[in-house]
Amino acid sequence: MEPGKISERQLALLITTTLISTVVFWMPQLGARAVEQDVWITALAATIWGILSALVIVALARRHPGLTLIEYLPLILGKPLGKVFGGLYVFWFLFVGAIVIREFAHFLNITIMPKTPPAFFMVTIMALCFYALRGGLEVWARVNEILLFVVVVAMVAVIVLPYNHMDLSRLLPIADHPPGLLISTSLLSGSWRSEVILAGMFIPALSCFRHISRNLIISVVFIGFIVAGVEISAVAVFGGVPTGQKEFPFFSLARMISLIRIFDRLEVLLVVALLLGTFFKICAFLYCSTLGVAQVFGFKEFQFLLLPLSVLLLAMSLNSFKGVPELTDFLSNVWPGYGLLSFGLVIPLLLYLIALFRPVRQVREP
Amino acid sequence: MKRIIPAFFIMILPLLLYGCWDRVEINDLALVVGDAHDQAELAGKTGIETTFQIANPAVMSAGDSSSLGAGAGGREGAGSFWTIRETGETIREAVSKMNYRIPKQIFLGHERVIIFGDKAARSGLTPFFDRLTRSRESRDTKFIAVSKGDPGKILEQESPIFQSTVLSLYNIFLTKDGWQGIMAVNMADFVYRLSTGVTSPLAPVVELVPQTSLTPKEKQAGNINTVAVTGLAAFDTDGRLVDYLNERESMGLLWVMNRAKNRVLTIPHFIGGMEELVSLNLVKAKSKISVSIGDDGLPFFEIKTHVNFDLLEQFGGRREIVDVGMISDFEKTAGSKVINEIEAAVKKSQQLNTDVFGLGEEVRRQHRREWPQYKEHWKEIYPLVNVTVECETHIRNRELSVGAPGSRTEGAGQ
Repeated sequence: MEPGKISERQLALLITTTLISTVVFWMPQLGARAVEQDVWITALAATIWGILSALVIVALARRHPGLTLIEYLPLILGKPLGKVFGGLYVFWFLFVGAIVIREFAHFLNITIMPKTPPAFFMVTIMALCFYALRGGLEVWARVNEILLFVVVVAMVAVIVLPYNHMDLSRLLPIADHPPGLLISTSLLSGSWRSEVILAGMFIPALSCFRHISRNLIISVVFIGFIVAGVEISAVAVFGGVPTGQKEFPFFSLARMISLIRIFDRLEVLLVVALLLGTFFKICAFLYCSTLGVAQVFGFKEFQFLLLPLSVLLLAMSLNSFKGVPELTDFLSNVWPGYGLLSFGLVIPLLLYLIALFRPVRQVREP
Repeated sequence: MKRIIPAFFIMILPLLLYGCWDRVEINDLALVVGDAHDQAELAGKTGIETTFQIANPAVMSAGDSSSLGAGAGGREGAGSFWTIRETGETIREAVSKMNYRIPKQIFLGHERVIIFGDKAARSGLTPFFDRLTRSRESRDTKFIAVSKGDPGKILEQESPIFQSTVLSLYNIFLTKDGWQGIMAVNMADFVYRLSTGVTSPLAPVVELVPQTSLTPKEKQAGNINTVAVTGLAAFDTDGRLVDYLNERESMGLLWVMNRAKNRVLTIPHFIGGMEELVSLNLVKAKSKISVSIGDDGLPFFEIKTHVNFDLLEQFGGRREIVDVGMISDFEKTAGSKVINEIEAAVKKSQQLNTDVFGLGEEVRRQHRREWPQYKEHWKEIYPLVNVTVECETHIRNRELSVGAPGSRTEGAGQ
């Protein structure tokens, strides 16, 4: 259905941008509130969940070559149930996309532009995403290849540059919290990592299919290191408890940078990184939901759905949360169950197990 | 049509560049460089009193550069800063009341130093920090200080070098952290220590002191005071000021906390029954705290300090410093002096029951299995724990002279 073709590297980079862009802003606060100075361990542990998700989605795709997640759901579960699950997945894409837009608007509101109405940010970023998606998958996947570099450089700079305020002894004692708590917090961190199942919607558009599991695992591990780096840096600068008391520890970290009175006030760098990263993240979710709707209902084309679904996504995000307290409450209490423990890992894993015991059905010719 | 629409957009889009809702002109801002907070009586209740020192940027930058040369820079008549004082029940309320009187928007993004009064500090600083950490404008890199008297007076004083007292304090904290007894504490440090619930926060004390020398102009203006950093204030774990540490105790503290960067240590030395003084200059100091659990169940601390000195001055100069034995004498005396300073700091902190060294944190890091049993009672345990101090001192170089100038007398040429 997707006319464009992307390379394996482009997909891995796209998934990297998608996974990295919001987790670094919310996870340090939520994690440090739970496990204080051990928060970076949970980021590394979450990599395991991410790798599992990546392996499952690639294994499913290998069993059903040329089909997206939504397309092979009916082949595995039977038509009625498969369509229901397909619908649920489409709703998941839409809902998570709506949350991402909301997070983006609140971040800008809190950090640099308090008086600008959030709706303004949402409408402009949505318009931009709609415009990008109309250009086709190939186009924005390539733009992402260029801009991910900016995002990563900005993030690494903010992780490293406050080194003159760091006291690494604040990370000690390591693993002071009970393992159960560390694992449950890693589920939260892993929920963002399990967004790697979005790859299931892109795999049929790949031009070749050789190293995809390796590439996805590398990007999941890389994100684990970036998130752990943010958390180590934040804990070393602020300490475990104060990190959990800040709304955006990563942003506060950027505000701590002051080197030789020249490198000062670099936090806008981070806002740029967020802007670019979130743009691609919203693009990815909008693309997946558009493609998903078309495939659930069996349309031959999906481009005509772009406009209605953009508007729907916008409406959903405008009506999702009232403010950041509600949002963080959702993220810490609901998101692990809604992400990793259902749509992110558990459902695909069950699908794979069922697929193992069912004979491979005849692949429908496209 | 295909050309007109993009052209139209290109013309419309620059209009958005000025920032819409959050547009602020820098001319409309009152740039606060320092604030002072203290407790005040407010209609029978305790409220707070806030003083801001607000920069006059055009004059301030001119004054800054001219301080390298001679004379007070800037336009005549306009000062480099102005101050405003207001009371309120919360800091934000006090700030909002200022709006009735000043023609500019108060902008807190350039705060450099925050000074708390003694009364506010003794009642607890925790409530004051919420405004500072919550605000999107202010940063955690700004410095904290405590004033023994009215903190607003410090902001109202004019300093001879930078004019603005806040900027001169900021420069002291930025460039002289770890010199003698000066310890710069930024907000992130203070908040971290508060968050541990064990370690006592510290803040430097700033005071108005008389200038030691006056120019005719200053005499005429009656501007006889300046601002100085004098010692440290020790807080309890709830952020309430307990007491002040004097210079010697502050120096002892800096050795242990690995914050000592520059230090002149003067030691007496006896030659033939006559005392002469030798000043040593700190090159590098490194301390390590090791914790062991004693037989009585209490933790037991060993502080090992390793200090390298250079010889800076020999006042008296009866003898050239060529004798290695003499240098090892210096090392011994210097070592015992460092130990004395550290012990004075330990004793004071145990008297005040403020764990300023972070010894409790050290137990938690080195013996985390035993830590839970101490954690709840750390306040009762801390005054009782044993601390031993060791110091290893090395004197490396004697700068550019072998001996003080003068004729070579006894002991020469060894």
